[in-house]
Amino acid sequence: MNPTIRVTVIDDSQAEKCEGRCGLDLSRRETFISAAEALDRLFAGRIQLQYHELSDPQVGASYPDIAQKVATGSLALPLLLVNGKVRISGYFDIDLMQRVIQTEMEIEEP
Amino acid sequence: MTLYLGIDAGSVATKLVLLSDNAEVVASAYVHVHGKPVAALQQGLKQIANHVPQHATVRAVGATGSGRQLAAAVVGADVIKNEITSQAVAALHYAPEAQTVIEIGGQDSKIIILRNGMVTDFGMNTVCAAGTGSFLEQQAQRLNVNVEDFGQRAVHSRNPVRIVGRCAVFAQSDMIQKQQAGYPTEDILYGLCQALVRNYMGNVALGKEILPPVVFQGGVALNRGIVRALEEALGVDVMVPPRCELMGATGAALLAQEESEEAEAKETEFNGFQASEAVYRTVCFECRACPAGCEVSQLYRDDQIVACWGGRCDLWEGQPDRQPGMAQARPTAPRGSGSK
Repeated sequence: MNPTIRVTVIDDSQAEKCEGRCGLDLSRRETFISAAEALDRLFAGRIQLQYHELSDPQVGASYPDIAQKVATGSLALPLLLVNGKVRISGYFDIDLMQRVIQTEMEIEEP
Repeated sequence: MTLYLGIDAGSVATKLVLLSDNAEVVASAYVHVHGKPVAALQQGLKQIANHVPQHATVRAVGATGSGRQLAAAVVGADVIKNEITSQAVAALHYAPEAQTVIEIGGQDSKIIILRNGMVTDFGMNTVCAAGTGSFLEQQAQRLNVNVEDFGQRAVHSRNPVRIVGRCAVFAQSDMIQKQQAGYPTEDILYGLCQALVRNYMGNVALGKEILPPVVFQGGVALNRGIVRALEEALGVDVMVPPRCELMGATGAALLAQEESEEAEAKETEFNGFQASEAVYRTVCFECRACPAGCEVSQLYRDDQIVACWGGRCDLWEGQPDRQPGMAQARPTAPRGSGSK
C-alpha cells in the first residue's frame, strides 16, 4: 500500500492579490472540491489535500515560521506544501500541482 | 560507436540529444510541438537519424519532460525521469560543484537546490507568464525586435527603465507606456530582463537558499541580458553551460547511460529511428475497475496497442493490449495526436 501524500495549501483570502488573478483560488469551496477530486483521480486516492486560511489566527499559530516568512516577504502566497515541504510559493494550477507532486513522489520513492 | 539518446518532451518544444559515450553531443534537435507531440517527436527523430555515424548504435534512451510517458512509449525508453532530476544531472555534469540550478524555459521556470550533488529542494512555476521566456518573446514582438537579438541589444542599456514584473498583462501595458514616453529600446529591453528576473526571484526562487556556484540553463539562458540581470540580482557569477537549451534532454541521455552501464546485459527498449515513420494515436478512458477512476491512456502504433499508462495500480501494466472489459471504458477527449 503506497503511503498518503499530504498536500497542504496555505493562503490568505483577505490579502491583496496579483491583478492577473492567475492560478487557483482554493479558498473558494467549489474550487477546493474540484481540485481535490482531480488530484484524487490523478493519484488514485493517495492525496490528502488540505487548505489553511492564514488570516485565521489559529492557523498562523500552527505555522509560525511560514507566517513570519510571509509577513516579511520571504514567501509569497499561496503556498503549496508537499509532505510538509514548501514546493510552490506563488500562483499555481492543477497541472503544476500534478507535476510537483509527481516529481516529489519520484524523488522520494525512486 | 555507442550512443545515448535523451528526449525532453515539453509542452512547447521537444528536444532530442544524442550523446557519445564520453558525453559529447553528436546530434541534437529542437522541434516546436504546435499541439502535436508525437509528430514533433517523430520530426526530431528524423533530424537526429540523419546525423548518426555509420556503425554507431543507440545503447539506451532516456525520456523526461511533461510528455515523457508518451515520448517513452513512442521511442522506447529505458529510463523515464522527472524534469528536476534530469536538469540536475545535466547541470552537475558540467559543474560538479553546482549548488543552485536556475532553469527558465519558454513556458515554465524551475529552481533546483543541490548540496553535495543531491537534490535537496526544488520549485517550479508554470502559471505566471511574467517569469518565463514566452513573456520576453511577446514583448520582443511588440518592440519589433528579433528574439535572437534581444539579449545582445539589452546588454547595451545604460539607464534601464523599471517595468513592473509581477504580472505579464500589466508588464505589457507598462512597457507600452515607456515605449510611448520615448525611452531607448535598449533600456526598455533591459528593463524587461530585470522585470523577468524580479518575477523569478519573487516567485519560484522565493524562500530558497541560493548558493554559488549557480548554473543557469533553459532557452532563456541564451539571452545575455537575462544573464546580466540575474548576476546583478544574485550578486554572483552565473554559469551558462554549452547547449543550455538542451539540458533536460542531456540529463535524460546521461541517466540512460548510467543505467545501461549498471545493467550491461540489459538490451535497450529503443524502437529504432523507424519509429519516426509509424502512425501513432492515443486513446484515453476512465478505468472503472475500482472507485479510483484512473484516467488510462493507450498508445496505438499502426492499430496495435503498444503502451498503456496512467493507471495507479498494476491492472494495465505489462498488458497493454488488455481491453477495458471489466473496467467499462468511458472515452474522454482524445489526447496526443495521430500523425502522418
